[in-house]
Amino acid sequence: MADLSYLDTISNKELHKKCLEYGLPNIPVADSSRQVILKRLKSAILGVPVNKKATAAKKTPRRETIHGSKVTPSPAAAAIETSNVKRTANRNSNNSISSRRTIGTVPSFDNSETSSVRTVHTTTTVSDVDSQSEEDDNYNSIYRQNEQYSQIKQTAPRRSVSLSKSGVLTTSYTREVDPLEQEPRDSDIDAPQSHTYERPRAAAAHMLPSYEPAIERSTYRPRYAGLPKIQPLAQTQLNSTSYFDDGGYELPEHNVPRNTFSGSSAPFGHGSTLGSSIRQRQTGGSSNLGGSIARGALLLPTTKIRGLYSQPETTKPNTLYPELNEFYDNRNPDTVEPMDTDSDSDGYDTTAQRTPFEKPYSKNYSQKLSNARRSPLARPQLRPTIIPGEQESLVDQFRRVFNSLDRQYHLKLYLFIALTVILLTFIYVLFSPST
Amino acid sequence: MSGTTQKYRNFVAEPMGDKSVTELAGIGETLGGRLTEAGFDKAYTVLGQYLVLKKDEELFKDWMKDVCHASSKQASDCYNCLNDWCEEFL
Repeated sequence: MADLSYLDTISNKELHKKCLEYGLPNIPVADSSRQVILKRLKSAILGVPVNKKATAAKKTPRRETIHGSKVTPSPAAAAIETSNVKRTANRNSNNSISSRRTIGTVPSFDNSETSSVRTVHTTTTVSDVDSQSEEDDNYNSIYRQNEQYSQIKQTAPRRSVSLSKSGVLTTSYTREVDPLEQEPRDSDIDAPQSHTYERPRAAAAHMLPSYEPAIERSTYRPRYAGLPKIQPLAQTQLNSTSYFDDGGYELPEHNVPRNTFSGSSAPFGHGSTLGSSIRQRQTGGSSNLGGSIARGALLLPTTKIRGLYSQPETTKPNTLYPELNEFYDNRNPDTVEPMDTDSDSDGYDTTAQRTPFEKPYSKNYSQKLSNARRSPLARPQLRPTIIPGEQESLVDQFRRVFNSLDRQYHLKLYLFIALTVILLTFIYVLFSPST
Repeated sequence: MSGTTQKYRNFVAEPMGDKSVTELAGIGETLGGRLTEAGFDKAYTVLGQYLVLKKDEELFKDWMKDVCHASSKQASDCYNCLNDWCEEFL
């Protein structure tokens, strides 16, 4: 320091020369800038940069950090999953970095690499900050599934972070919310267990005689309310109402492998093992029931029934499925329309379910269907084109048209009024004094 | 990168003229008083010092710290203000 003390006494010109000697920038030395230049000169002479560290740190562009993010996680970085101890050590050193490493390594699910290379990826990106906390939360669950996925996806290509996250979420969603769609992907890992398909519960509930007068459609509605697919459900309900069990006609169970959620039971007398897959509805009095209790009334939706064939004991209006009101309005309690087996409205039907059962019963069942539809009291067919060659008598057609017109325009009332007016006119003309 | 302040935008938006030193970004009343005591009462005098130091960021900040005991942020704000003004008007 004794050597440097003379710098304070030298003039500005000499100080400028000294600065040039030590390679400092050619800056004019003035009284205002003398102190600053002296500091710089002393630090240059001593070789100790005074503010070099801070300046270098500030001058470092942020691109370096971004550059660190561009380092794609190599397969070596995926080894974090396998070594808990090493990951813990990294988290102790730097939490943010370790979490980002976790993000980078989650999609890989690769256990084959060693963890020695992980030190290369110490500089990670800031761009993953948004997903950082989420990944930290999901890390444990993902890591638990890691063994399961690693066996399946070891040969799978590396995916991005977002894809891995969405895949995990999709898996959980399919498992929980939509158990009806038994996707093969889920069934490979763990088959979703759908409680709605449990036939014995619903069948037992309906088979109990004590339940029969009390059960209404409204009791089943809440189960459907949360289902994501309403339209196929409504269709299956419609189809399920059209079965008729008329004594000798035994409805084939296997023709109705519908997942309708209707909760209806199989026809009585069918104690086969196939009953667990049956979803069908029985309407009207069934001789198999052995009583006068209208079996279908228990299962039919409680709609407001109007019209010519209105049911006298109408109950609650169908508010949950208003589109079914019109359909059930035309329902005749005495007649039953068999289910249209050709219909494709059953969204839950699969060919695998249907095909093994159709053949043995196809002939008999189609006969029953055509007979039921030829009945004069059968309700109007919603899909007349589905059944080719169906011939109805002219009287039936006229009666149906008349009934429909009467329902819509109150034709009977107007005819009655017109006839009354005509009669009154005749009476007036006949008995009035002629002029 | 934090956003610019209104003081910075006001100074860079127009020629400095005879603006006071306190109108520089990062220079408040306290630092302005110290600079005024040191003879830098106008913004153009600080600009002159900035130019004498050949727009060297490090030297200018050191000078700011030496003259008015400015903090690193205050010195940086003042440097950025003068630097951008020079890019605009010089």
